[in-house]
Amino acid sequence: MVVKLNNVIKRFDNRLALDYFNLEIGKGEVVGLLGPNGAGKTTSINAMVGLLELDEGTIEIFGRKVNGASNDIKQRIGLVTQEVTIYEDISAYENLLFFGKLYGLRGERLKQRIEEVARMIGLEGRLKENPKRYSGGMKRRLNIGCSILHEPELLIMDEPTVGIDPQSRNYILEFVKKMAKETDTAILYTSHYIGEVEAISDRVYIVDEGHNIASGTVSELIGKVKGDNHIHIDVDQPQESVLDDLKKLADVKEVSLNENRFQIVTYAGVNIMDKLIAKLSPFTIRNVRNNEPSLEDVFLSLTGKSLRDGTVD
Amino acid sequence: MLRFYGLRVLKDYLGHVILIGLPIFMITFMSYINTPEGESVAAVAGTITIAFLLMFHIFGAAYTHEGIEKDFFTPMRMRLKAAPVNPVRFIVAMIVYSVLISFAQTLVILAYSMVVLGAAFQNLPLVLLLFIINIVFSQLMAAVVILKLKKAAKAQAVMMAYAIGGPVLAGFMFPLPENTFTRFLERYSTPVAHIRTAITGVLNSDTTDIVLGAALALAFIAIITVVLVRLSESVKT
Repeated sequence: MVVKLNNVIKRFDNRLALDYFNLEIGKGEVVGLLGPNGAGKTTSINAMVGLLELDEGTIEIFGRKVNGASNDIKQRIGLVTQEVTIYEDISAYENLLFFGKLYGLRGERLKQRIEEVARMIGLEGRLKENPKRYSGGMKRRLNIGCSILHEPELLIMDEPTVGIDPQSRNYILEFVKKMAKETDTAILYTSHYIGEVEAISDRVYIVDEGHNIASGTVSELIGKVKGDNHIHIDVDQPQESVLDDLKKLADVKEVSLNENRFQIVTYAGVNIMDKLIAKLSPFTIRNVRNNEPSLEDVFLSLTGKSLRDGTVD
Repeated sequence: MLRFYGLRVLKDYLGHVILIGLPIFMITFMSYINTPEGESVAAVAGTITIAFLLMFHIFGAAYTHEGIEKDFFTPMRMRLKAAPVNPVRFIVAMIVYSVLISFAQTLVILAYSMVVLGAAFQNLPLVLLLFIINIVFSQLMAAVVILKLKKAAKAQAVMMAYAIGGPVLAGFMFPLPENTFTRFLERYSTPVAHIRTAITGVLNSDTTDIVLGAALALAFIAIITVVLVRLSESVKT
């Protein structure tokens, strides 16, 4: 296990920021931390990178207990801050040079890493410019680049896509998935954008008011919400004979045919759309509608709050 | 790391215009209007140059303010503290480079004053050494003020009060009434007055003034360094 937080408690004056908080991240795993503002996401990150001392509980990183700053642990962690923390009055290249040197990179190795990182974040050819001239998305990508030069084994990304355009957001999400897969980096990704967490996370922790509300894979979490998936597939000239084939599929609860529409009920949290489509492929499919519960429904169900684009109702 | 901090300070082009251009303009203007009739501007340029340089060293403390504010009182703090480096090193680097840049600006202004206005300085190396003491004190004081107040704008207001109040008390801006108290203020009220006392000693070949002024200024540097070391501990947590 790369990171293990065990019953962590952190108080600020009389306010409990983390309350018996638990979290685990394995090698090459992308773990999403989902919660509204003030839920304890940034506090847990600060504790992990040694910026906060715990009141109770333990944090193990790379198998070592930490409580406070430890440079050899910091050396192996990359932190992408929630705000863009780059120097805008010097060039992007100089920013990368500075942050690379802070983590002990020097000479040819540093230059080589800057080139690699520039390609990864899509800023090759723009490094000589001052980030002042960059778009919000480019600044965000440079912000990430400055955190991965030293090839961290644990990358902590604190809401890295706040306030950027959808194109840059997709770029960052693809980058996160690719990095975890290709370099075996453990990634903690915090966000209050449910769609992002759903799209990239192997496992998700839902937090609220410093507590763990739930954790698991997206399917497992969705499975915790009562209710079934209702899938409607409209086809031309359907035949009743296919109903039996559909019923035999695992996780299918009910199947019926109403004029041109197959109505299929499956257990919540499972995705068998590809199998259903395969069975119905002899027909011309006109329309598919899936009423599967989303992670947002899970959040609403578990916390009683709606979480969308940073607003908590 | 030092190179990077130098780069940040060097790229503050507006700062250079203000801290080099403005004193050159003021020194030239004040030298011409204060030159007695029938005499060369060179007769007063030296004294006026010294007064403005001592004052602008204090304004130059803005480099340290802004650098420390960006690194420790904005979200940048989190990134820097998450790095495997003692955060106090960032403060030291900022002060070292601010001192170097401020000294380089001093050399440019002095060169202008000597070449264009014809100012002459007796024992220039010693005068330069005293300028360095003033610059070091100003930058250390700036670091203490920003670490205490945590906002560059507030810190700048405090330094502005010192940059104007110090020279006024030291009698740079206008002559103070002649009495024992004002004579004491002119010589000993603030570290900038101590440096001025020492420089006046250099120009008048008065060893007592040189030693006394420099020793007092160095004593203040020692005190403010102790305060700075204590305040720097706060950035570690």
